[in-house]
Amino acid sequence: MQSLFNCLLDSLAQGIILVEKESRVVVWNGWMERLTGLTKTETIGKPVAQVCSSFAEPQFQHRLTDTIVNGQNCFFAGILHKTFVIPRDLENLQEAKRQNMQIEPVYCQDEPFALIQITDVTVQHRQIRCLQNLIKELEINVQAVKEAEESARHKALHDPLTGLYNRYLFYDHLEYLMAKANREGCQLAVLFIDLDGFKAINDTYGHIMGDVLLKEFAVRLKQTVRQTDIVARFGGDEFIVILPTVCDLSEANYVGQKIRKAVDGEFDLRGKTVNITASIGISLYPSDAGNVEDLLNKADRAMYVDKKFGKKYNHNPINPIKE
Amino acid sequence: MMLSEMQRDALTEFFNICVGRAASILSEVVGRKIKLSVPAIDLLSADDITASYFSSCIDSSSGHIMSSSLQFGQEYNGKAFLLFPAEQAKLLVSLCLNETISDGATAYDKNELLDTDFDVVKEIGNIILNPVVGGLGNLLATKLIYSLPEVEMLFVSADKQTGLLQKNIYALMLKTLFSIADTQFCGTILIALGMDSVSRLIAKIDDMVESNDAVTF
Repeated sequence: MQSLFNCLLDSLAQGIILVEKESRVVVWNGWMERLTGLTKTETIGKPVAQVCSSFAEPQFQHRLTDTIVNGQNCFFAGILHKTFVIPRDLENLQEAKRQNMQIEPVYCQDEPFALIQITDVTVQHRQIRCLQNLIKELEINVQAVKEAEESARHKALHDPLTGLYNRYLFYDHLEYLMAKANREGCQLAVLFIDLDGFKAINDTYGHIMGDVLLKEFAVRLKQTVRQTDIVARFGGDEFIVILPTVCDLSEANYVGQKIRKAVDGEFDLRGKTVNITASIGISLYPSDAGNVEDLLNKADRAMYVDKKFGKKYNHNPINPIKE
Repeated sequence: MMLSEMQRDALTEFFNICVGRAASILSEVVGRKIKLSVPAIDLLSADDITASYFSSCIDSSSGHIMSSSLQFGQEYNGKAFLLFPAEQAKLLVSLCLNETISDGATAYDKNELLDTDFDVVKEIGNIILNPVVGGLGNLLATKLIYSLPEVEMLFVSADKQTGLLQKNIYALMLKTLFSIADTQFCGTILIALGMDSVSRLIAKIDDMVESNDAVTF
């Protein structure tokens, strides 16, 4: 029976050391022999600190004493302490071996012993590190996908040259703001803006300079209106501003004049100065039109009237002629 | 069962020594200075420990609490818990491992606890609870048998009792602050004791207070 018990003890997949009250080794199992290269004969009866150098350190010595004298259970995490029993093959140590250790009291005929159990957790640690890296990689990938989605969404809804809203996003906002104005019983204004003589600038200075002009024009436009106003490039040299709430036409006219003041004048096209003006037409919802199409048509027509005759009227933006 | 001011003072002095020992062992293990503040002591019945009391005591915004516990027994028995907010667990583990969580760390790095992190919490609980429970055994001159520490995550919802304690159980609450590298953690040591054990502890404290012994713990 004793030999069966010893056989079982030696077959365990963890290290077992039993220490008596004078800290001498009583049991040293096969796992310990295989790991350290020290046999039972070389260890039993020896002070544990002599055969297992961790126990020469005060912190482990004290905890071993606590177990034998006070009956305390102690647990040591491999991630904090790394290795308690050093393998005979020091090359193994380079692999960052991790061991958990547990010390608990055992009593035999009122005689106290400390049972030291050492478990190799290197594989678990390695798996956890792999899992951590995998999760990090996944998080990075998810982030990249999110960024790509956001970028694609932005590209789909914004004008690539000026960064302003494009037609699609403009229509979305206009429909939403018209419904909101309807619900709240207020008015909104649409300002249709077109650059005068843009084709001539394109023909004279080339398309690249034309693009520079459009970009600078968009910046000035954006800086002139409130953050809550919507600015979109409708196409070519056409821009639209939505003023989500206006009291009346004069308020929309005031904003139109501000825009004109900001955009009319000199533009520096990489060292070449050009002068431009803009024509602006205004339509109000719901007084001028009841749907998106009519509202834009009226603002567009008003803009053409401004382009043709507006300069005669002190450059006031034009409200559509009532039909 | 209320503690008188004298009893509270005596228990505070006694447990402060135990907690001081724990801090010293913990500092040695993690290789950096760890301070534990003088514990604030309270004795409560299981009925007094409502979820809201518990949440305010542990200071957990999410209601999740990290618990490391060990049972002790023989003629004097009970269960000791080290409790702290789960949201601080990862930071506590990182500081003990001398690792830093960067500002740019992913949510996973900041919050998720791995098996190895649970092992660290287990050892921290073991280091703090052993001197406290051992001190209790010494004070009452009784031999205690300890279980191995267990770590679990508890959830305390506002509309439920904590479920930690059974009826007729008293809780000796020791609220302390851990300070590691300018970071503070709110930890509570809860020692759950039966009526007999509490009476025995109080009687011992009363004896000491009355005889005005030079208390040597």
